[in-house]
Amino acid sequence: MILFKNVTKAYGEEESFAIENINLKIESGEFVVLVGQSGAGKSTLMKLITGEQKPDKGEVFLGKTRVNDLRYGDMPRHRKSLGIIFQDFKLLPSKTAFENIAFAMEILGKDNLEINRKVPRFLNIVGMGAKANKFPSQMSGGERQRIAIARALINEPKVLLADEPTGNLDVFNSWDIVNLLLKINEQLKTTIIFATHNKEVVNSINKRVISLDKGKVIRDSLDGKYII
Amino acid sequence: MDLFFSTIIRSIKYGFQNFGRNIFLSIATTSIMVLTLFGLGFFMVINQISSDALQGIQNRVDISVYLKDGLEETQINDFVSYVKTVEGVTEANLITKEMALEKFKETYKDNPSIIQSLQVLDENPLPVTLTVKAENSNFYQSINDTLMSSEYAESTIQETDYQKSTSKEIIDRLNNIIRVTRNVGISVIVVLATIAILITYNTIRLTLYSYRQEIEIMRLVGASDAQIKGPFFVEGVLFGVFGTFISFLILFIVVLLISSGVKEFIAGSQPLSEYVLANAFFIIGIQLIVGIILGVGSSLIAINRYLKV
Repeated sequence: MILFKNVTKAYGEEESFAIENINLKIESGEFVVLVGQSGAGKSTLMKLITGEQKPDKGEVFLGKTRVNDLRYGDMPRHRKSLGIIFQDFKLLPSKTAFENIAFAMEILGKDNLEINRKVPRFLNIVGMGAKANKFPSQMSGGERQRIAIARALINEPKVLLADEPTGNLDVFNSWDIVNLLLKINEQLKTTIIFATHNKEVVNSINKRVISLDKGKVIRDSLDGKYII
Repeated sequence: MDLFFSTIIRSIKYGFQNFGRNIFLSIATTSIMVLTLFGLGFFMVINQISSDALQGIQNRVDISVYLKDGLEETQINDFVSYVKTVEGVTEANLITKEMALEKFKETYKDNPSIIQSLQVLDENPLPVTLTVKAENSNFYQSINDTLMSSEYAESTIQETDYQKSTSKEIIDRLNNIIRVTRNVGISVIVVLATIAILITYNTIRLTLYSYRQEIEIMRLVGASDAQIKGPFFVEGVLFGVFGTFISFLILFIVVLLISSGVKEFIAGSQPLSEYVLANAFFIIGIQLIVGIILGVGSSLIAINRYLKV
């Protein structure tokens, strides 16, 4: 479960609120879509969960962990419990597809036997079994995002944060990625928070939609409609 | 697998992998390291050779103590024994009147008028002489003062050549040259080392700038500081190790090329190539220590700037 209690976050000296007095509860296994224009606060909301940002007021919980309390040294352990997908993929350019996914296991100290058994399985789940030895520069945007998803999932996190994962993709690849996320949510029961601009996608998948505007939640509905 | 050991093993693996996969950056960084370490090695060699040359000159300097005529052999032996106990004295060699005459004749054999004038005299006019050598040229003043204030000053010593202004001047000048050479040498090494360290640090910082996104990604995926720094630590070591061996090789080639010229220029000095070969382990050791400290230190300082996520 993810919980935001009266959370406010402002940037800069002018005190422009990125997030203002937000209260949210996301249950385990939910698929939640975050919508809103650029600057509405979607990414800040994600960063408050990962611990990249700390709230100025209020509390953020991930399960029993109060994210506010986490120190610099606690971040590796906290982030290992999350899967994160970014708009710009954030793959390590000097590592192959296999190595990028394996890296997420290596930081947990998994042995090579387990890595060699598990990584090919997840490469196949995201449909990238044939590209295991390709570097990010040798892959298309859609392929890179699939590798990023496999990396986010390899340690089987309870929560997957997808910050505009289709933002850099064409329509065909966007649908591909969305369907993959839906499948993961359904089959692995992973909680997914999916931030997007894509109205067509949101209206089609029929999931809970949280609309943000100027840092405030203006709508939180199960009707699956993109309204901002 | 234990997280600690797996982090070490994987850091070594990825350190080598990063070095190889970013080969152009690695070559650029190693090249700067080579220049720095070559400069260091070259200065070590030059410093040693100039010290050798000055030491050679120092060894040729001595003072002569002329003894009075008519001394008994026991008096002379007593005096020689005393001189050997004076602080700073390393050698005291007695030159008898006969030996002094032989030496005089040898020196002026091409000047018959001087030899003839000597034959006019009935007896050997040259005094018994004691040549005294010191540990280094700074001791001559105190040795001379000690002798001239001793009980032997009246009874045994006629004079010393240190009292003659020319000898004192030569020794003082030599002392000045040694002091200035050492100070200038140390200053030059400190200045060059500082410049070299700054250049190497900046080069490594620029290299790691290209890794900043990678470091950020590792951090976001949940890697600990040790897991992020490990490979860069290994890369820093590799910069130092490769830099050391390449720079030593270049140093040896350069030294071979200039060795004969330097030998002519600084007479009496040990050939450079011989010195480098004889002290290869020492030079490589110093270069390796400096190279690794520089490589690892610069890498870790630079990484810390990108670890704030």
